[in-house]
Amino acid sequence: MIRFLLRRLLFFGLTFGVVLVGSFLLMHAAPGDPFEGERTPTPEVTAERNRRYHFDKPILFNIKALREGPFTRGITETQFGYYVDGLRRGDLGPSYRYQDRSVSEVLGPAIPVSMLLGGIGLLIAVGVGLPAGILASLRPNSWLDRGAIAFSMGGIIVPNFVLGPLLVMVFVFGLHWLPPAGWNGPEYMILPAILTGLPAAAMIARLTRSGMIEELRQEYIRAARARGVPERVVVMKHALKNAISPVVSYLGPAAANILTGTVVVETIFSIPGMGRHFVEGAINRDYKLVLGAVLLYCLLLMTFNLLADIAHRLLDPRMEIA
Amino acid sequence: MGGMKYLYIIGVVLALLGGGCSGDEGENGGRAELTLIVGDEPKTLDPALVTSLAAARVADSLFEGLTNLNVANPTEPLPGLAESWETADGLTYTFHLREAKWSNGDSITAADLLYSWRRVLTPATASEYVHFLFYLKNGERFYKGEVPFDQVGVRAVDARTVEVTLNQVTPHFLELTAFTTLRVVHGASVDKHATRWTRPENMVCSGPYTLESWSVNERIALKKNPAYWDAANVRIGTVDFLPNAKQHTILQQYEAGEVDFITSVPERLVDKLMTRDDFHGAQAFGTYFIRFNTAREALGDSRVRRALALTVDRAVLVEHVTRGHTAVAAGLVPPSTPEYGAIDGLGFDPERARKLLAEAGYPNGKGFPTLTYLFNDSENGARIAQVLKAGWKKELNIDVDLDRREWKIYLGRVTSGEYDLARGSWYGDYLEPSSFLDMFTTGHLFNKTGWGSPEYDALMVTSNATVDPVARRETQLKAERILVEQGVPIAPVFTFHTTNMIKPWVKGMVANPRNVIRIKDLWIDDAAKPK
Repeated sequence: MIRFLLRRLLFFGLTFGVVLVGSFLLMHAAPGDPFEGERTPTPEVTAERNRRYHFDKPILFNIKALREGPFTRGITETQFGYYVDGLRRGDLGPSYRYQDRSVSEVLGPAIPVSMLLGGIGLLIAVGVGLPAGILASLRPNSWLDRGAIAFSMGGIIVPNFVLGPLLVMVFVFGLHWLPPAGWNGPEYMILPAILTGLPAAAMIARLTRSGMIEELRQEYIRAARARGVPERVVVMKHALKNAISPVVSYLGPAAANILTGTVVVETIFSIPGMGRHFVEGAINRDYKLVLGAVLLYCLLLMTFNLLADIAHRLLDPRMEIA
Repeated sequence: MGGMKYLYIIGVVLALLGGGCSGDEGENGGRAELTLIVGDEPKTLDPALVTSLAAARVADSLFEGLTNLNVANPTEPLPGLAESWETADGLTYTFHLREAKWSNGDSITAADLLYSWRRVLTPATASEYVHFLFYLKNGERFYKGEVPFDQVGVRAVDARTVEVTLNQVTPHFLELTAFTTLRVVHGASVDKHATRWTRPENMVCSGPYTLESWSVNERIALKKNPAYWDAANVRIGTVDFLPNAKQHTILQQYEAGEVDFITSVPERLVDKLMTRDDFHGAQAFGTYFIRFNTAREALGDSRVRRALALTVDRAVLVEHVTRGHTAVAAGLVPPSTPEYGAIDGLGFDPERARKLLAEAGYPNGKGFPTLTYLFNDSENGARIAQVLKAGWKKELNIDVDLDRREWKIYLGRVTSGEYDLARGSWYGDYLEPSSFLDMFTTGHLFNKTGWGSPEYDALMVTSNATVDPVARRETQLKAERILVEQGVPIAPVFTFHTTNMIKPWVKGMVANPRNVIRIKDLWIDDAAKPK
């Protein structure tokens, strides 16, 4: 286990480094200027901004500084160099759009919001998908089972920007139960969380159902039933524990999907999460904000995958994790 | 055993719910008295740096200017921090400041005004509207570092009196003193906190409201400022600005009663919404026009440009595409400009266009290069582009390719001249024709067409220096005719419209061309609310 963890952490660091450099270069390669507007800024204003944000420095290698001073200046006196220096100090840099705030100050409050949205979505995914899959597997080919399969297909296929407005139509303007947008209390979280978790719920239902059907066919289940073990114990304790392996494998990518899926949900429901900043930052060319969001997403995704792999390992020590 | 696990999970969820909810509601725990959605999230609330109308609507509630815009009668500004003023010649103004206080109890003095204007005129501040202070004597020279600040035409006679000297007579100067950029900030706070002075805990306000909290993309909460000089007339105690969202979402929030005042609705629904009592639409102080890059092949000839302008069927566009309260634009300056009138413009005349095109050497479009029309990513914009393209093909037999680009890329290409024809739009900052006409003088930063005319430039210089309003209008109309009917670096197409939706219990909004929303003027009629 220790060796496994060390290997993974090393891989972690490498991936992070590649994402950092790659994203930085890509961001700066995109055409468009953070400060361009209908009213073109004057040369004086542009010069001031270039100075303040180091736009007048090269991106990756500063040949001029290299020739003048010590070798290291060629790397540190670059836009990338200043950024990494900031990262070292925990500073994600300034936001170009929100001039009064740093990236950390903009993303900070948004992280718990996205986490909460994703977290509840994940709970819904498991809380709805798992029981649905189990129930379906207990009565194969019944109406219950057919219904569960239909629900699964629907959840996987229908895009969330179609489903979202439909949910709003029904629950907000039809039944007047819920508000249409915002994030001001528990009732605001229901529709967004459902929208976030539903595709994963559908997938989990599918995986659970097929896994359970497979297990319930096994000899040891028949033997347990013959011994007189109560059905509930047979299903929940014996069969589920073995059938759940593909579901746990899926939890890693599921969490990833949910996290990236929050981007669309946040836009539909006007939720102040990371996803909105990510999209709006890209549109506004707010380089540092987007980079900050990318690095955070990277960390989160890698952590989820690591946790899922550890859980998998613990569940079945026989499994070889490559 | 299994049951316990579920209780555990529910417990965790409830704890998370408590924690993850917005903690930034401050004292406005419940709903504010007035909730609005007025546009994109402000980039900043620093008056010197505010550039968007949406941000101005918030910042104008926090900071007061020398004067206040009189939305009912823009040529007669209302007092602000200055309770009175006089000018003998239109060149020198003397403002008498009232006894007013900052929200922290400090007195608002002439020194604050000088500090604020000096700050705008300092290049390190990077204010994009600094040119409003170039009207001051030596304003631009100070900005360029040529003279020290004491040479600039603004000085404090005493703590309550400010004397302003302009370069030349500027009829709209008192409108500018109400503009967000020229509003007064609290020098001591700015010096102490630097870029963090706009934080709610640091901000010191002179306007009708103070900043209670600002949670990006979530809510901007304002609270009535008891130290405001006119606090007795401020009737709404708490105001919330919610973030911009997709147009349909905003409308849904309005319909569900979460928001009381919105300024943007989905384009497709304007026709339907127009019939409602709570819809308030009018022509806006903005024009959509086509830019011609005069450096490109064929477009260097004004006959070609005139031919293209003469075959834009504006009536069809307004009736079938833009609809609502948009209107055909004969000229660049919107009809809602007070006391201006309008030019005739070129109109729609395909016959004449074909003659001009033939004269220019392209009879029936023969030999005419395929040009590209550049526009930004918008549904309506795409439809307009298609109508233009079809019209030019039908009337002049020329081919125009459509190039639909993302906003920043579109902007970048127009600025760097990488276009043939491009969509353009302009909203005036102040209610004078020069706010539209100035930018097409030769070499102006916002011109971007490569066109210039010494005659036009001379007329603009003259009109800007003319005191008599009638004579000034005449000169401006003459200049506009050169721009729109002869030189034609641009072809105006239609006037934009405002699309406000206001709940019936929110009173006090006076429709005005620039759609300025003065929260101070608004009040809630509880009797009109639904039970």
